Amino acid sequence: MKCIVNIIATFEQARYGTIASANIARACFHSLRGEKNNQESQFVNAVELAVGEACTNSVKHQILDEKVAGPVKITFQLGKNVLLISVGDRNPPFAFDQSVPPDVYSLAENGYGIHIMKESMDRVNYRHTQGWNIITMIKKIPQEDRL
Amino acid sequence: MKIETRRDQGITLIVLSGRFDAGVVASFKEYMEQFSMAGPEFFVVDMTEVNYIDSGGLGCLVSFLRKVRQVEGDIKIAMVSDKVRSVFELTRLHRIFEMYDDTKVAVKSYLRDVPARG
Repeated sequence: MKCIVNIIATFEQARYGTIASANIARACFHSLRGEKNNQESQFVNAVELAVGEACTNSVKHQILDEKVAGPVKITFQLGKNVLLISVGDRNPPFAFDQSVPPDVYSLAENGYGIHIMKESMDRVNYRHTQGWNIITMIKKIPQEDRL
Repeated sequence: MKIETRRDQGITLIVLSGRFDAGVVASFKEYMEQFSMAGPEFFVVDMTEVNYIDSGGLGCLVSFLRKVRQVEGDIKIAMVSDKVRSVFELTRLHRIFEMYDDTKVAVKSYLRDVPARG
């Protein structure tokens, strides 16, 4: 199963993309694990949060003098027991791998987004190719119901 | 996101509802401007009806906390859902904000600590 959600880089559209990601994650979970599983919400929430952060970054870091909001492409692909998600934008490249968790004790106001993505998902990678930033995330779909 | 303000025993109760995401950062910061911060002010943020929070929302709360603490005030968080609490824990911000399961208890916690005005 492959699903693509195309939005533009505005906060409103980022919200729509985030909500869509939750619904898609829920559908993927149901297709593999059924509808009565107490791990569903944790899985869906993690996907929603991570995709939300990626989309928000696409909005925040676009070039400000551009008159038209850039495209953001969110792709979902369901594997055997994993959901593969990529979020792509046309913003300039950035130092994803050098991002460090913010120091909460100094009341840091920014820098939580990439940390949240990495903590929510099982794997997060970044590359810049052919003018696109692409963040790829993998979330394993839990195999056992922990009732 | 909807924001309501109430007063309870001298404490300002901020009741939020909806999605506290990056899209509402500007409006929340505009909302914060109404508090003069001329002296200590004490707040409880009731998040019962907040169904989503991201780094934007968290950043707003931290910014607010920073301003309030500069004048020796404080902000406490009440009634977060498991979903919202997990985001605080994931970012370790639950170590920075005092968090309560009951808004009234959060308000009362100030009344023990706030120095008597004489």
